Amino acid sequence: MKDVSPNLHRFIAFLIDLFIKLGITLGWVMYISKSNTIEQFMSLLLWIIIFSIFSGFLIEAIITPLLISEFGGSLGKIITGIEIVSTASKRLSFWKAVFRNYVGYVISGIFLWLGFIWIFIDKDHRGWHDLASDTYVRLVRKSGWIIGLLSLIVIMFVNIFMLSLTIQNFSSNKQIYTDLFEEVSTSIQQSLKSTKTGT
Amino acid sequence: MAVSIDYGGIIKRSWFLVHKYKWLWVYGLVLAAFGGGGGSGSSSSSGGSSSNSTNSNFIKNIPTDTKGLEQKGQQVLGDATTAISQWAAHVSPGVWILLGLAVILLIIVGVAISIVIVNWAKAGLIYGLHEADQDKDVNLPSTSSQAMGKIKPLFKFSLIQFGLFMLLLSGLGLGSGVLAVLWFILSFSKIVAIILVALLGIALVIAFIIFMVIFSMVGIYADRLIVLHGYSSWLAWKKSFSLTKKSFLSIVVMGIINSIVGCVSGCLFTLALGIVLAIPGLILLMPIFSKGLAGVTPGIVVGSGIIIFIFVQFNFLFRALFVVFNYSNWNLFMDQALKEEQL
Repeated sequence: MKDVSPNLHRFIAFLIDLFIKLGITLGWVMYISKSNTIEQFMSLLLWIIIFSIFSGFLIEAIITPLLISEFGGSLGKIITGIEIVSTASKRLSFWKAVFRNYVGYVISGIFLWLGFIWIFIDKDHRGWHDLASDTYVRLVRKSGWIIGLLSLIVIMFVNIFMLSLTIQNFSSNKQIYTDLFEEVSTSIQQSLKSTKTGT
Repeated sequence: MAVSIDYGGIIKRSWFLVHKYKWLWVYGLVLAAFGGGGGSGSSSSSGGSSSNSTNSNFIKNIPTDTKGLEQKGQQVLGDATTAISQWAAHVSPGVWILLGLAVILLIIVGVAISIVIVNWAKAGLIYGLHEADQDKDVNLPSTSSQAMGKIKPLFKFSLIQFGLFMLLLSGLGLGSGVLAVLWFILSFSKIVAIILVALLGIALVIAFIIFMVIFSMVGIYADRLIVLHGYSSWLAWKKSFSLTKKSFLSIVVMGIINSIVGCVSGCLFTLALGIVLAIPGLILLMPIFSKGLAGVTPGIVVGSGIIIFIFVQFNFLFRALFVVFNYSNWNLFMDQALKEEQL
């Protein structure tokens, strides 16, 4: 296997992907946090659940495998200058990419995430998902980690900014949530009491 | 009905293969997690379950006076919860339908992934054990590439099995219908009706159990014929059925041995793990919890969580090893059965 990607590149790529996903989730939460009535909060929450399932399916089951088969990897990998290829150094087919991303990741995470830790043990830095799908991660641009790291910092700042806005929004509408929380906990306590006394 | 099988030799060899070829444990872990761990069809777990007694207690504790509860609930509910119930009533049916579709999509994706994973792991483990038995080098890349090609035929075979199972269920339904008709026809003599319906009912249940056992046996043979001998799904079913007829008793014996080994070793392992982890944990935690929840610190909660996590993970690993052992037994058993057939 030629030009195996160093772990640093892979780790930065992983963090970029993670913070992009986190950013999208935070974006939704920030949107909900603006609501100032319970009805508005519930309506937004319902829509976001529906949209998240459909968009999650679109991103994970279609877009990510397409990115892998067409460009060699997820956004993080593309930015960091690494790509997923078969051991014959060819791009993966769409279905092989689906297999690596779905089945492969399940295998890697099945027992104490040993399959991911394996990346640090294997001489070619291959996790169980790589071994199972007969792939490896190849280094395309050596300096890619610099661009990757800069992008990661920017994405992290965006995340922190969104998080602070979300906290601000939630705290300005604090009363709604504390009221709801109190009511729910009181009702649970009351039901527990009545179950205990049998009345 | 029975072929000559060296059961002791099979168990010894299986233990050796499980011990030596650690890459196969990965397949065992996957099958243990996704419930495909019975060699095929006939699943046998290493742990027990006490859900029945828990359920009965739970049922006893369910309050029967729901009207009273409703009133209490209304007294407790405040503005916010009332707002939620009002909101829920005003959400258009289209949105609920969309939510339902999203949930269905999630379920379909989940089922599809688990079907692919289970069939991949089954094929990989059967192929890997076969290679290991010939003292060849076994690793994840070599076995996985073979396994990927067998996902489709194994899935097709499971569809055939499912179709036949549904047919069997319809037969059972039809049989029950006939029994009900008999009950009404013979209403002039209750004793005759009771005896006849009871006898036929028992026969029906026994027939159902026998068919289920045969299904499992056919599954064990067919999976291996598909993976190791390149049979198509339907041909594998036919060949397996004929093999099952020839070696019915031997398969039953092998199944019983597997169940006993799984049960005994499972109990012993859980007991050993309990002695190593649970009892020291209890000794450490009991004094803290005896004062109520006041003495509980986040450290204790995290520590207890870690102990439980380790307990669960090691139990899971043990189940995985047993799955590999079980599959190996069936692999070696089929080899001997096929050799006997050729003689």
